[in-house]
This record gives sequence, structure tokens and C-alpha cells, in this order.
Amino acid sequence: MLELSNLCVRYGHIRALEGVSLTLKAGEALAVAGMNGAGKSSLVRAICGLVPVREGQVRLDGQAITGRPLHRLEGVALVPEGRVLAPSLSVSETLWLGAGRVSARTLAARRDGVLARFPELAGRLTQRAGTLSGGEATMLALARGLMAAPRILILDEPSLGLSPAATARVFDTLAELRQDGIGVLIVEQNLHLALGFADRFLLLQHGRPVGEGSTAEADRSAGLEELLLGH
Amino acid sequence: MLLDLVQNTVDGLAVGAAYGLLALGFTLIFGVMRRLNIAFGPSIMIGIFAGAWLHAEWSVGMVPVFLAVLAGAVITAAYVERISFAAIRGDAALASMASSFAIWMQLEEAVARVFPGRTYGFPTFDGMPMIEIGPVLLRPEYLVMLVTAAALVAALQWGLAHTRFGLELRTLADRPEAARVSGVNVARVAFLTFLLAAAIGGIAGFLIAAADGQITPKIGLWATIKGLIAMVIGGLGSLRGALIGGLVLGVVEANAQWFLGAAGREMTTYALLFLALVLLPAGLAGRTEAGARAEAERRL
Repeated sequence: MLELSNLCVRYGHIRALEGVSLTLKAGEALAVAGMNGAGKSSLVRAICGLVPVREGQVRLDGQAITGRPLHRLEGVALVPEGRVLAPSLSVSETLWLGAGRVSARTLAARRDGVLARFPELAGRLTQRAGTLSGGEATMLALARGLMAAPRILILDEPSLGLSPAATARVFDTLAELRQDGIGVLIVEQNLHLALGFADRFLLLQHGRPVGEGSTAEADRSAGLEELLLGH
Repeated sequence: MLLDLVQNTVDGLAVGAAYGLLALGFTLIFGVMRRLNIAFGPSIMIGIFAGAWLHAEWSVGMVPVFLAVLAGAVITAAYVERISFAAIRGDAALASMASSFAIWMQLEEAVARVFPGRTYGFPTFDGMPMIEIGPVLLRPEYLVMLVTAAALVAALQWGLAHTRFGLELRTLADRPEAARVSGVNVARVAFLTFLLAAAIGGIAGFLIAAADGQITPKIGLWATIKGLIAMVIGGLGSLRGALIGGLVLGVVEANAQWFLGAAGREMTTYALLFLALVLLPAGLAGRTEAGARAEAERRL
């Protein structure tokens, strides 16, 4: 289980996150929503140790992992905004990169599992990541994250720039991952997509949590969309 | 005259191979860190002087001397990395460069104090016969340079393509953020790259010193200048370009030395650098790679 308590992140004098707390259990999906500049990406980066945490704590299965960089963060994988692939690496190399330092046997087993989930990548193993289409690149970024065998998967705007078909494919895969017991924390500007997929939501505004609850409640809450649209 | 040209070109390719190794060291560090290590040459100098001292004091053979050069260069590089790179923020490239310049001065001063003479002897590859290829002669130490450089480049290429460290290094050079979000220990890869570059530079330094048979404290400055020029000619950040740049520099220098004399050689070297900067600012191999990378990043 991932637990955040009273997390604060500052960039100089700017308060990017203030007092954010959340929990995410195995197989659960939490959508983090908010307008641009609400602190969604800062939240993701703080969990993954990519920006320093000023106050508060991050715990994974009861163990404090606050500020721990991804290479020391077993059980958590990130699919960042914009996919962030290395263009010169092949699909196969990108998968290897995501696996971390594991034995050849573990690497092969994980690769087989991931390729079974993404058959479209299996035929492109020698193709360079920089030559993939947007949808394929997103699949590869997702596959790279899964190569780390995460218990918690964090995605930042996975639908950005994707066609409706590719977006549906991504969310179908995420639904399968949840069934396999992986907790999914998703930052998504497409509110309908996010609320339709997740069990619970956390709404951020100016770095502060201004709403949270079950997505079923959110559907009935007229205020949520107004907050996001800035009315 | 044609025979002179061929002979000079063969000699130039051998020396250029060593220049290429120096440029390779610079390029590895620049490619991974996006920062210039001005103390790269002086690190090699420390290794060379360690080897020369070992030989002078204990009359040891070439293998212990080689190991001393390698160890000296690598240990000094670790010191430079900790002081001038690891301790300075990644986006402060100028601060790192200035800091490594200060370390350069420090290292040169240290050598000048411990070895106050101008010139010191260095063991050579004695007893190896001159190689005749038709009318062209090849010095045995030049053959060692060529073979070593080729073997080293092949090993490096293999390592970059087939090892986990090579994969992480290439990712860091290609897109540092991709390495970070993929769980790569970026600081560790940068440190090991620094040591790898120093080891390659140490091998180049050993070969050059063994070919000359003598060294001065200015060999650090010399290695820095040759490596930097070869890297700029070949293209910043391109491993292939580093080698090409080294070979081009070696061949041009050898012919300029023969036809124009020592002063003409230096003039030609800097004219070549000037032309490369003006006509091919991305270097001989850098342009196409940079273009391909930009294209790929646009797609992603």
C-alpha cells in the first residue's frame, strides 16, 4: 500500500504541494485531477524521488520511502508525462532498461510477460523508440514501467496526444493491471476518462487538496467539474 | 612525394588513433554529463608520471608501468569527478569546467614540485623490429597504437551494445530524463563513465609516452588540446566522430610536419580546428546524429 501523509513540495518560494495525503491499496485506482499548475506532476515526481520533499512522508507497504530515488524504489514504476523514451534505444533495449539490474532469467520472464500483454511491441523489438507512433510509444512507456514488476504504477497524463482508439487501449490495459493486483495512481486531465476508470479521486488546486472521495460520488458532484474548469 | 604522403598518412593514422582515444575519453564524459572535463589531460599526466617514477625507481617492465599509468589516471579522475562534477549541480556546466580548470592547475603544480626537471624518460617498446609494407615503413610502437586503439574501440562498442552499464550510459547520453524515470542510478553511471574515460585516456597516454620515450609536465596540456581538437573536428558527443576526428587530426599533422615543418604543423592544426568550427560546427559525424536525434525527439 502506498501512503502519503501531509506531503509538501516547494520550488524556492513557490509552494507546489501543500499538505497532500492519500492512500492507494493493491488493485485500487486513484485519479489525481486538477487544472494546469495544480501540482499533479509535482505529486508524481515527489513520490518517485525526482523532486525533494520539504515536509511529510511517503510510505510503501509501511516502509518510509520519502525522497528515495526510483533506482532505490523497488515496487514503484513511473510512466511519465510525454512518455520520456530514449529515441536511440530499440524497443527491446527500452524494456531491458525498465527491468533494472536483474538476472537474465528474471529479465526474460518479465519480458515474456510484458510482450504477452503488448503483442504489438513483440514485432518491433529491434525498432528504435524514436520511430514509433504516439500510441506505440505510450505502450512502450507503459511496458517499460511494467518491466520493473511494480506493485504501484504511477502514470502522468497517459492519454496526452493519443487517438481515442489508442487511449482506450491504454485504459483497457490499466484495467487488466488492476485485476492483477497492481495499484494505479493516474494523473489525467481528461476528467471523464479518469473518473470512469478510477475507484477514487483526489482533486488538487494550487497544490492543495480541495476534494477527494469515491468516483461514484464525483459523478454526482456538480462542483468537481466547475473546480476543474475554473468557474 | 607521393611515397612521402603515403608514409606520413600511415604514421598519422597511428598517432591519430591515440588522439582518437583521447577524444573518446572527452566525448564519453561530455556525452553523459554535458560538461567538459578540462582536467582530463592532467589526470592522464599523473598516470604517466606515476609509471615513469615506477620505472625509474624500480626498473620495472612495461606491464607494471602500464598498470601504474592506468591506476594513476583512474584514481586522479575519481578525485576530479568528486570535486568538480559530483559536488556541483548538473546544470552548472560552466562551474564544473572552471573547477576542473582549477584542478588542472593544482595537478600540474603538484607534478612540477615532485618532478622539478623539464624532461623525464619513459620506457619504450625496445627490441621490436621495424615493419616493412612494400616501400612504407611502420614503427612497431605505431602498430601497437593502431592495434590497441582498434581493439579498445571494438571492446567499447561491444560493451555499450551488450552490457547493462552500456545500456544505461547510452540512455543517459541520449536522454538523461529517460534514464532517471527508468530507475537508472544516474550518479553511479556518471562516475563509472568518468573512470572509463580516464582508463581509455590512460591507455592512450601510455602509448604516446612509450612511443616518444620521454615526458614533460606539459603532456597534460598536450593531451587536453589534442583530445579537445579531435573531439570538436569529429563532433561533440559522437563516439564515432571522436575517432574520425583523431584520425583526421593525426594524418593532417603528420603531413603538415613533413611538408611545412614544426611551426607549420601547429598552424595547420589550428587552421583545421577553425575550419571545422566554421564549416562543420557539429563536426564530421555530429551533424547527422544530432539531426536524427532531434527528429526522433520530435516524434516522441
